[in-house]
Amino acid sequence: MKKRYDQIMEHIEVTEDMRLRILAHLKAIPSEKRPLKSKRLSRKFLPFAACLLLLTGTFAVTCLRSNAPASAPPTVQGAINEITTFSSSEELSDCLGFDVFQLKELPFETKKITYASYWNRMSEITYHGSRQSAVFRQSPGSEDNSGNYDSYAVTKELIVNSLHVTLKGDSQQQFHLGMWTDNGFTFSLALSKEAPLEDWMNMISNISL
Amino acid sequence: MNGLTKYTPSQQFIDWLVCKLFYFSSHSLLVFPQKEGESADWAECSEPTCEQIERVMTDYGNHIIRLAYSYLHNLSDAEDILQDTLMQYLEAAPVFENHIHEKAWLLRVAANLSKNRIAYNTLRSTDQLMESLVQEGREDLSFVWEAVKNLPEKYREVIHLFYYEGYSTTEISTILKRKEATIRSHLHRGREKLKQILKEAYDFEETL
Repeated sequence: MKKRYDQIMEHIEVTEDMRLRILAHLKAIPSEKRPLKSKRLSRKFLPFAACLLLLTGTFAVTCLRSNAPASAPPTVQGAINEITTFSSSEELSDCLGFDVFQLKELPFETKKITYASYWNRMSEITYHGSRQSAVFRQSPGSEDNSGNYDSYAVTKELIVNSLHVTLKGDSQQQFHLGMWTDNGFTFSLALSKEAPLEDWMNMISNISL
Repeated sequence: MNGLTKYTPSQQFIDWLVCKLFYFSSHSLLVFPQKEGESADWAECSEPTCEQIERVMTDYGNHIIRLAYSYLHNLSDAEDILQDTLMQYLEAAPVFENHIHEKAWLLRVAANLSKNRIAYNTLRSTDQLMESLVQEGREDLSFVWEAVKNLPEKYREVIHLFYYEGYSTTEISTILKRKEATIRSHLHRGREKLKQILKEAYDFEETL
């Protein structure tokens, strides 16, 4: 006889009505209110923001951006509403309008590298090994862009090549996540398998274009 | 790090402002009003984002809502948690090694959201599951559900993840971010409490 608790739980399920309701809400939410991080901003500021955009956007983009792409748009291998994939870091840089940094040293052998931009403002390079991966993100500003909401037991601050780096992990010697800012950009590096401090220092010291 | 274009403070500010304004204006009705005839139907949004969410809903929706129900004992609240979990999935765009990692992430988020709801919001009192079991005349199941429901939350969540989801104590400690020794202790105490309540009425192993 099937266990009673399983039978109880079978009474709770996602019905078709519930599914359609939730999907409709998820679709509607970006145009009605800011989810989570952006919740703070009231909709009443959006028209003001749009007007201000007309005044500052043209000036800023044409006069101050020195590395605007001049060539034809890069080949886009997979286009999602807000996520675009590319075949190289050069194409990623061209799309985003800033130089995208890459990891040159990793604690595992890289089998494949994938390049993506999120919302046309954040680069994400994923290094795939046979059993683990590393996700390296870069975006303008200083907000945490890791997308990692886990709570870790240990947080460690250190200086690597004059960068103030924050590492997070579950033990004093092994870390999953690293974050830092440099020259107006925020960087995050997330490892699927935690690595020791020495590996982290090696990875961060060997980041380049 | 060398080679990056040097940004003066004013350039940094303008870049920040432009990024923010482009982002906001893309959602502003003034600049990009919804075109006549443009449908808000979910099925018309760009793939694979839609496909991804539908896949997550199909693969894990029941698991998420059942875990949320084990905390909140109300279907509407549990549905809200499912929606909020999917919203976090969209917002965070997390990277997973495999589907096991993905499911654990989703359950962790759902558990945290459920606990936040208990801590900060007024919960609805209707337990549709209990009503449904009573209506069906399944006294055996309603008795068991009452027993599980009345366990302290820290025992109940471990019982659910261990017996219903089939996770090991090591995996549960990763999902709930607690020491494995604590998980084993809560599991043991939860089982003892259930055995006490169920007594001879139902065999514990057949119950869970």
